[in-house]
Amino acid sequence: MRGVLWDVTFEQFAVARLPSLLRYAVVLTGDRDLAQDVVQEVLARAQVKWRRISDADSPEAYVRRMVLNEYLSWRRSWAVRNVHAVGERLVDIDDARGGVRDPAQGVVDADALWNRLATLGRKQRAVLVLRYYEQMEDSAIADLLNCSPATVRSHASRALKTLRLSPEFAPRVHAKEAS
Amino acid sequence: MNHNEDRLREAFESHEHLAPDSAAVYARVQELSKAYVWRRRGAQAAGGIVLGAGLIAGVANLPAILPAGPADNSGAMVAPAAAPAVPSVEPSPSRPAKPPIERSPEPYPNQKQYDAYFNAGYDYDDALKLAKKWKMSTADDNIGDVKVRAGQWLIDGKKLPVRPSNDPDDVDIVTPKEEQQVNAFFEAGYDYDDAVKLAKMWKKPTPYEAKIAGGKKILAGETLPIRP
Repeated sequence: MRGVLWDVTFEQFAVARLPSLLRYAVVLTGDRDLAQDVVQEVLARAQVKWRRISDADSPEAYVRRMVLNEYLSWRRSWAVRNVHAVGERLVDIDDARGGVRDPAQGVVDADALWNRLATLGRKQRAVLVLRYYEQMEDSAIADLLNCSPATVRSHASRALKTLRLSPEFAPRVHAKEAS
Repeated sequence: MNHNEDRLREAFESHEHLAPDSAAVYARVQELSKAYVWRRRGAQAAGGIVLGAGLIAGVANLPAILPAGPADNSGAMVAPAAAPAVPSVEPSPSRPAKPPIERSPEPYPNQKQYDAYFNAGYDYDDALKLAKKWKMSTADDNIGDVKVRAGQWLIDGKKLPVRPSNDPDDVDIVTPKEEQQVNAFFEAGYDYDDAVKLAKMWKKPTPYEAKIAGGKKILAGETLPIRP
């Protein structure tokens, strides 16, 4: 009897999961073009060896891991990607908004934070994405990144500090109210 | 709930909508997959690389997983019928540990031209630019003609009016040799997890270095210490 996963063709997988993969890649890379390149490269490779991937316990987890690894080891055209014309990068798009397009303060804050995320190193950003977007435990992140949970915590701590999100930089509204 | 967690999640989720169009990406994946197959064949012919059995099966499977023609898709991705188009490449029901070696499909027409085109660093986006320059159709079923024509130009030693997207002269680009080595690594059936293991074994600083070292050995006809 053939297993259910064995029957999932690459095309069926792509139809069902590509939008989610692209959202993940955009959040991971912070760059629409790079996200597209990374997902394209990964899926092209995945298609060629789909039989093997579809045999995995979770083909989607396998492919998401490929996306993460591709992003972390991306070298080709990296310099080129960083020489964008003004307005091409998501950061520029957000800068152009100037935080005033949407009156909602939450959106303004989210945009500002998104811009600051672009200043992080790839591994630091990946840790934050895996922790807060993918909602993974540090141990699982450590497994993905092939490092220790302590290293994951260190990456996260540094990233939060850079983003001015660590406790000492966070807004202290409640402290004022309490005093 | 943690304030930082909320803020970060909101920042991430509020920018999900910037993801590229799925249908366009999928079309590009199809192009890249073909390029992988052709590069693989080129490497096989040049270096006498023995391709992994699973890989050959994957290549043989390509026609079954290629999307239907534009008329069927209308630009959107459509789930395929349950049965593959090519029954002969159906996987074995018994889920063998190693997929059986299957016959290679018929050679692609104009393979030389395609090889010349992709090996020169050109890709799908370049074909679109060339089509505009040459006033050719950019429809999906015609873009192959553009590549064939461009490939023939390259074979004839002519310069194309568009620079390749993957220009080997770019500063931070992977060298063609490195790319060949990394390709050889994947072509032999190895993947990232294998690279991680090899990096530990060989004390390489990154899995990427292991891919290069592994690919180098494969191209030299050596066997790697682990199976793919």
